[in-house]
Amino acid sequence: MPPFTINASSVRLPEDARAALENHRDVQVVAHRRPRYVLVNADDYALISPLLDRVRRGAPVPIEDLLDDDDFAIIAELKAEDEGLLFGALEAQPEDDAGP
Amino acid sequence: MCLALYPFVPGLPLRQVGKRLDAAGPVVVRHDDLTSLTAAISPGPPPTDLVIQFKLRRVLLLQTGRGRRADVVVARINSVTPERRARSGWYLRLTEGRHPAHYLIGRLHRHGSAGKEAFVDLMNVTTIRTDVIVRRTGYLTTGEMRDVSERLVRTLELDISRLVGGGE
Repeated sequence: MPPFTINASSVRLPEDARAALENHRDVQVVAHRRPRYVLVNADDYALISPLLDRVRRGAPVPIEDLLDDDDFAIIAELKAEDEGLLFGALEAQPEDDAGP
Repeated sequence: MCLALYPFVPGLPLRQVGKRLDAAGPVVVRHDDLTSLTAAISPGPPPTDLVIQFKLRRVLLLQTGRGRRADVVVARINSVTPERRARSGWYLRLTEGRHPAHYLIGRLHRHGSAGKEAFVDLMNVTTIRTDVIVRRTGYLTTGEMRDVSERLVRTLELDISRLVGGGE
């Protein structure tokens, strides 16, 4: 779905927010301390809009594409917690094959 | 929310514990790759037992668990440790309810974690037998379970485009 488009003259954006967008930094708009909107540089939006489109259509998206470095660090932590809990394979052997 | 025996999925490296004993006890061979492991396992009888360890963990039941089914699908619950809380980006997404795979619980008494923050990890979902569920520790409301379901759709990478009207 193409974005809803308005003219720049309709938007009153503080100078520092405009500069942030020019520098490819997202601008988050909060209301009652809750994030409501995020403004993104148009070039950046072009990169992520296919992903957004798939998510909104309910099409499958690899979950890794929705995770960030913090998430991968926590996944690694959780995996490390489990490492010591893997015991192993116990090979069944006939009694007469057992060694000394 | 339940306390249940949660199985760990084996992976490599794997330690093979033989029945053969030496002075230190059972002979243990470490397998770092599948070639080594498959070479050590005899394809014919007697079968090779795979020992999987369990840990008593809090889990969230993703199905009712009623009826005559012996198994139920659960998601693992992890604590929000100080180290994890310090990952501000992750913690912010978690507390704002915007994380795609983790769901914050624990702030309410009925969550059954004594007021300690925890998160349901929808990337860690498995099947357990209903008879290894030790006891119920808390519950989520219908609305909270809906939030969990939304994350489950993402982590299982399900195609729900027809359900949301975007399919062809």
